Amino acid sequence: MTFRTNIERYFLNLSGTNHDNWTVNPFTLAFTGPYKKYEKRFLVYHNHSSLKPFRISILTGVLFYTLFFWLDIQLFPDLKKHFMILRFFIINPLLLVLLLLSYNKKFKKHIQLILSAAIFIASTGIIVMVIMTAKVFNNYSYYAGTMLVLFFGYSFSRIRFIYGLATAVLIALTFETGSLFFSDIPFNVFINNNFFFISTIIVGLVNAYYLEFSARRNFLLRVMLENERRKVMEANSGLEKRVEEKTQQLIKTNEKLKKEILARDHYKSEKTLLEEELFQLHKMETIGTLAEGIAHDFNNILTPIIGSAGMAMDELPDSSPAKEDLEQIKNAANRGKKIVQQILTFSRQMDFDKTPVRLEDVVNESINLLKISKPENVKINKTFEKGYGTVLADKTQMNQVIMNLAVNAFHAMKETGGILSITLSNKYIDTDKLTAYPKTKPGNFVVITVSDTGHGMDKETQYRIFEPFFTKKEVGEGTGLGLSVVHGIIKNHGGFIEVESEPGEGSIFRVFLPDFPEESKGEKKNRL
Amino acid sequence: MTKKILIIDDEPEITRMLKRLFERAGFKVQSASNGEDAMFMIAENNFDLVVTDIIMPKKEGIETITSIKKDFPDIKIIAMSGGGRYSPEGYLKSAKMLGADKIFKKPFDHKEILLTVERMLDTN
Repeated sequence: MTFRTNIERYFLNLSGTNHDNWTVNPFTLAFTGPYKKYEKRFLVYHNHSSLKPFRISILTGVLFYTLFFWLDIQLFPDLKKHFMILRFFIINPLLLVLLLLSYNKKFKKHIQLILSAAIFIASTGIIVMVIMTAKVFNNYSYYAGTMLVLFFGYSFSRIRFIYGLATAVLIALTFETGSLFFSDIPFNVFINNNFFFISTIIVGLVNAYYLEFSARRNFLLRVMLENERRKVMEANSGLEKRVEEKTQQLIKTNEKLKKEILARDHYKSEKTLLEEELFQLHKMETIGTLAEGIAHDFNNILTPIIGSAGMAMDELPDSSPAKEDLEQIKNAANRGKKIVQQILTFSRQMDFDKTPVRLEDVVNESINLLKISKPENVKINKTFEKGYGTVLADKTQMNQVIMNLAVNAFHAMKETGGILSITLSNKYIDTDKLTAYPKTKPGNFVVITVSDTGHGMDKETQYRIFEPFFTKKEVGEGTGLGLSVVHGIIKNHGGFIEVESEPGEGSIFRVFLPDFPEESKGEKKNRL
Repeated sequence: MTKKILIIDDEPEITRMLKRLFERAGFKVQSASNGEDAMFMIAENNFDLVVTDIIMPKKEGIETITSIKKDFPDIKIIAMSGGGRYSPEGYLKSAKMLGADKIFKKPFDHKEILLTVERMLDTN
């Protein structure tokens, strides 16, 4: 048996599924074959869904039985009493009892039996009435009532076919027995009534058969549907789970990738930094070698210039004009000598010995020197703040730093005079401040502050002062190497230098050097 | 007796200048442009003083100083340095350690070096 014919399938746009080959027992209509397992479920389901129709049928039946009493009164007033007893004290009560039974848990599941019983009782009641009217009035028309009962019972009350069949047989027997043995029914009436009666039974049974068949089919359809739905949901959730898993995997991979990228970038930037450092080192080495080579040759060249000029000056009387010219030659050559020295210092910053140096001593020595060479209108102040100022450094270079800064200060105060202040202090600096100096480690620093009250610098100048050969001085007054030398020295000592200045308000240079705790000892050689 | 001075430097301008300086002061002066030649000349002559550059090709100045000190210990030695290659302090220190009596950094004051030479040779 199939659910649908080909035409139906076409119109309903069904795909050919294997749900179409379910089978039932042609007599009992029970599921057979692979669908046998659904029989029990179907019965329970069918019984349950029969309850309501059954109850409605019973109530309707009781109603009709009651209403037809009016007919009794009209047609067979003599039998009124008998019929009343029958209808209201036998049949209706029985039917109502059956109705109540349908609410009882124990009897609920036997609804088919109860329904069969109801149909039988109702029919029998009518058959009794037929017998009674036949006896008294020779009237057999009440048999039509059975057709009414059959109609109700075998349609929407949901009786199963086999129950219906059994009940129909019983009713038929009762009817024939009743007609034949308890009434003198004329033969033609008997035939007439039977024709209609039996036909109704047959139609009713066909009806019941078809209804049960449909019920079973619908039931299976719904089961199949549910199964498919469940399968889809499982597939879905399975799919969802897989998608979720994949997503998690992707997220994890993504995170890993992100970390790798970050690490790589970090390494890249570190690598870049290192490469830069190496390049700078290399550059410095190259420059160093170059500078040294140049310095050597330069000094060799300057020697005869200065020497011969000096010797020539010795040969000339003071009145000779040539003496001035020679003097100029000597001076120019001496300036060249200074430049060479500065270039050498500048390029040789890689090569020095670091020892613990007390900056207090260096400052004192520097100030002694400065006092000799300072301009008249400049005063020198010295402040040593509490704490100590020992650093791991090359003493000469520290000296150079202070001297360079002081000389610049003198120059800035040349016109106006003023105060040169040199201060030693301590400061703890942590990483936040050092973001601008990534190679400097946080910790305690000794700060050398060299400030003046000279003409100050604008922002542009401040930017460039540490550039080699950048100078605002007049030609002949300076090479512009001083501060770049200072900067290089400080950097090589792991420190940094800051400038604060406003045009017209003087300048403050702060040199930060990592301190060297007094307890530690030992020399540190630094040769790059 | 006139004192004899040998000047060793690969820079001809320097040797010529020093020659003029010392000759005008009354010394006999000869020059060599490298340590090797210098050793030959020292062997063949009686020099009282040698003024030598530290860094020269062929025979580095310090080697020359060592050789002279070893074979001719009486000769006085003045070392000069152009201040290239290595820290002048470092090199000159080594020179002194190895036997140079006085060290001059180029470019030097001609009067100073002359004074030093005259003092060393007792001709002041």
